[in-house]
Amino acid sequence: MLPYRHALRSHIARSSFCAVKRTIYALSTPPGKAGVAVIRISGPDALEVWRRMVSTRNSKKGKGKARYCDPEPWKMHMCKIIHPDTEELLDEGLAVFLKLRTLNAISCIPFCRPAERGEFTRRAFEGGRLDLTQVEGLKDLIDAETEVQRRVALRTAGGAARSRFGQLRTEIIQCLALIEALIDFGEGEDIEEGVYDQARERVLNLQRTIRNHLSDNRRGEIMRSGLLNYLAQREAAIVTPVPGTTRDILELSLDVAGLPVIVADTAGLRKTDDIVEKIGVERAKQLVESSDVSLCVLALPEILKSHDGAKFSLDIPSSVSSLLTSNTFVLLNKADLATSALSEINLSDLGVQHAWMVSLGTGHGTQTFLEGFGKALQQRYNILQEQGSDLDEPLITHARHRIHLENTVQFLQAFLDTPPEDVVFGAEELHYAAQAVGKVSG
Amino acid sequence: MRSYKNSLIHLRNTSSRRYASLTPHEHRNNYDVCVVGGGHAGCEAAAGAARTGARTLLLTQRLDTVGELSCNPSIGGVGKGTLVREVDALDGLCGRVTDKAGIHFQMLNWSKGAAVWGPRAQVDRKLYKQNMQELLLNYPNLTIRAGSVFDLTFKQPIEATHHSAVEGVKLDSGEIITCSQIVICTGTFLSGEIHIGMKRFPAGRMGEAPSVGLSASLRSAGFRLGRLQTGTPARLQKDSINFEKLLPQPGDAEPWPFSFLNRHVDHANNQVTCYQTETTPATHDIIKNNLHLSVHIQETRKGPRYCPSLEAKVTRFPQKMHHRVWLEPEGYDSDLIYPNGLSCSLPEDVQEFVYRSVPGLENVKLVRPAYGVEYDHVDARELGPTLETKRIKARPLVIFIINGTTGYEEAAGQGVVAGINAGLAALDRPPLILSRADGYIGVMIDDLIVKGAEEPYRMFTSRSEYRLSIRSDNADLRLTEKGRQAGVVSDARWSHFEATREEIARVTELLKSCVMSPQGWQNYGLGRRLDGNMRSAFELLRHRNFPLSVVSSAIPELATVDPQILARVEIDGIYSHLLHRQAADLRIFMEDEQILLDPRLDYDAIGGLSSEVKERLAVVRPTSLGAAKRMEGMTATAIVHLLKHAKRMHGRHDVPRVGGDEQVRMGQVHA
Repeated sequence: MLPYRHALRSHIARSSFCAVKRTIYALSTPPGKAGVAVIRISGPDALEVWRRMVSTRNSKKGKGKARYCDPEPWKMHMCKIIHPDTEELLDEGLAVFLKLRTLNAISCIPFCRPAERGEFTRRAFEGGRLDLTQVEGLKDLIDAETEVQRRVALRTAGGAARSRFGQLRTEIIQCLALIEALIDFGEGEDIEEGVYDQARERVLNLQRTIRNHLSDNRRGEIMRSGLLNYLAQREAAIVTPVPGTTRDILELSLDVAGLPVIVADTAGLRKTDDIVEKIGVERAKQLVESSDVSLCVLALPEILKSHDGAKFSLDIPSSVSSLLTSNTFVLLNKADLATSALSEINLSDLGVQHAWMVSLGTGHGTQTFLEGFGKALQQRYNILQEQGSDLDEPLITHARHRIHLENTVQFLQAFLDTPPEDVVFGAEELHYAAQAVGKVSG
Repeated sequence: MRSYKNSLIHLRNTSSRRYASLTPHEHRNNYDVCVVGGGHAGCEAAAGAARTGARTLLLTQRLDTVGELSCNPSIGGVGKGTLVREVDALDGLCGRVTDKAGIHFQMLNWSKGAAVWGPRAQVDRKLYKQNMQELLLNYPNLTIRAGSVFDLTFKQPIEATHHSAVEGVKLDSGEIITCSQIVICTGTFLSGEIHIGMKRFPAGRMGEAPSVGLSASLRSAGFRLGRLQTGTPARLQKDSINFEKLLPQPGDAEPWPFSFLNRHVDHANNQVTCYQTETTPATHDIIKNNLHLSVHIQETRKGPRYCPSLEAKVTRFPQKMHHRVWLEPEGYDSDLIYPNGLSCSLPEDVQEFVYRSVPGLENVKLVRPAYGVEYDHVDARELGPTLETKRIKARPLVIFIINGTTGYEEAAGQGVVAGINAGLAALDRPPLILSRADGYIGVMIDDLIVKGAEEPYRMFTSRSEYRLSIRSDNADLRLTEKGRQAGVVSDARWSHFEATREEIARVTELLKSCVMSPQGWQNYGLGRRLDGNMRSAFELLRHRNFPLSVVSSAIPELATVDPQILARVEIDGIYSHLLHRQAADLRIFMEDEQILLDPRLDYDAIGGLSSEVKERLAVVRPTSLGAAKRMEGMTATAIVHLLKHAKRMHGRHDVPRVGGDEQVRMGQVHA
């Protein structure tokens, strides 16, 4: 047992903080695919889990904790798995206790000490077995808050980013090699026709690929506070019925359908004489224009226009409609306050691809909205689709990557801007492009 | 010519015998520097050593082969031409000899700009050799002798210690020559073996004996030896070729001389014509069907990738229907044609079929067959930046070795550096080290000693990181002063150089001081965007549409300037705006170069190095942090640990001589 276990235990009692729970479990076999499910439980309290959930013939006979004896290690026990609280039978299966003897034994050797946080990673990096992107990936993996982040980090740590950056660099170097061949063998020796054009074509493709990666990162999404709170499932923004409550921009990082999304709540876009609110509205407008995704939240009753008291149509204020594009997502809230008109509203009149009607107050329609919104985001950003080609994978997970890739694009552009007769200058630019992309992996 | 049988006997002798130790009565000759081999490297090495003032002996198997062009009758090319200019800038020989012997001059890459210009010349074999021999026979401090070096002589048996001192060389005749420095320039002669079809026989060149004993003594001394391959095409009888339907290629109307000393080349107005033809699918079929008849190809060694044999080309590029062939005259009064691009090692009867399948050669007569040659070379990672071996360390004797390259120019470039350093070491003067920032010679030597030669090394412009500033036109500005400081540049060249340098500076200043607004330049017909920015005449040069001939209309003083000088200033102007970026790279490079590492470091004593890295370091033994960085398989961490170590050692120990310099000390750390 680790020396500090006792102290740790008492701490567990007080806190449910994730990192303090040192006993971990996971399904070790792929769900739905493996013929047998193996669940692994590991950590200082693993045996406690056994005591609470595993019921073998031995323990049954014993009855009562006082007579309970720990399982014989390294031996398979036929057992029943019971719910720790209700003691309800969950499964029948085999359990084995793998006693960790080695770790304790090592601590007896005077020149050894337990590793510190991140120490193995650091040594792997120093020893050249991990490159910079892999180390960053490991850190991201530990810090991952959403499912997509976790998967991206896992790939990065596994070297996927390194190999992608490596591929980019190799491709640049191959283009450079074509150009260099033209210079060093261009006269007097055998060289294929059209080498320059071939290199140019490949650089164009390469630049497009890198630009895709650069535009891949999401930021900014406009929400109204009621929705924001709903999504965050907590009171992050002060929501009051008084228009103009949100004056500055509130940003939150949320998990929407597995995507890490930075959500910015803005002031409502309305005409106002309040100087402070005016600035807020102005900022909101700017943000809407610069963000990747905007979701326009409107109160349905406020934009309903009735004709002859019977027919209804949607009337969006001009201050808002000027910001709408076909890519804007529209959410009509407070549908519960306009039930009489619902059947007559045609969402396609809004001229946007995605629109929903919900009542955040009653929860009506929110499930449909969340699923639809998540799906639309995933489609638009094409994250980790199983069938997606390598080129679509998100690559830039750190600001550092962005800087080097932006430089790379600039050098590639400089190459493309160089006329063929100045092939020597063009080669210089490619040389710097390869250097820039090489800096990502350190 | 020594027979095959004899060579074998020598080999056996070497392996059964201890190293000859010197007895006093054997002293007959004593020199400072002894250069073995009279090829391109040997000639430059001998002359370079002699220029330092060291008493130098050039040993060659036959006096009449000194300055021989064993393969193609041409000098220069892209990258290679720059090497020749650099050798000349150090007051070497090959540039001057080429200007006298050249019979067809061409500036390759003319349209691509001066950074990659490749001056190239066809030379008359006879004239080349004759001029080279004339220069060498009258060279101060230099003696040339015929004699085949059989062995190195050591003071004590080499097995006893790795620090044995070598005392000299022993000739075939048994005669011993003592010296303090040896430069080995044996090229393809070191255990050379010629291959024609399935036939193989020991030879350095066709009809000349290889040097077998020397190879064995180097091996016994612990040097890592490898085998390299190269080859040469058949020589064709001129009047059996039908030139009529072939594409003629005349020389440049106004040839650029190779030497900075020359304004003109001797035969500018009497140039010969080369002809272009190509191989056909029929050629390729014959080769494919007969590959099994070539020992050279079957025993795949490391052949030159960049000067490949026909067999290699056909195998490597099966999709290509044609390969280009140049028919090059071997000289004014020679009736031989050198078919550049048709090197092979098939049996002689097959060769005839191969050659006759090429347009123009339908009835060709082969005067001498093509052949492949395989030879020993010392792993260049055994050498330091002066080309001195790192293995046999004890002074006074130092061995310099040249090899691992393909081509006369690479050989000459290494020869001049090894020879000069041998001379300097003999006279106890600081060495001449050329870095990657100094020139192509520096790039080549660094590549060789850091990465070794997997295949014969060929110079390319793309091997240099700094080719915008390291150009063939400015080799003298880069190297002549360094050479002068080392004491190897003659007074005549030095005064010529100083005048040139001053004039370039004066004319550049003239152009820089002529500053006008866009309107001002428009008055001279030089239309530019009217952006209000003042520009100097020098700045205008970077634009393609403002050549100096146009810009100079604004500066009447330029009318009297030497056109050669004007051309050089113009080139500087074209590249000036890109040089700031390269200058920044150079600064970083120099910082790493100045952190010196002791090549005798015990890498096991440095913490944090993986065993793989340690192994690689032990092979290369880099002499600077920069060189360590360029090594294959180095990790960023290993570099950090080396740096830490270098800093820790700073000032604590003197570094033993690195490449012949007692003054080199660890710890010029700028980090």
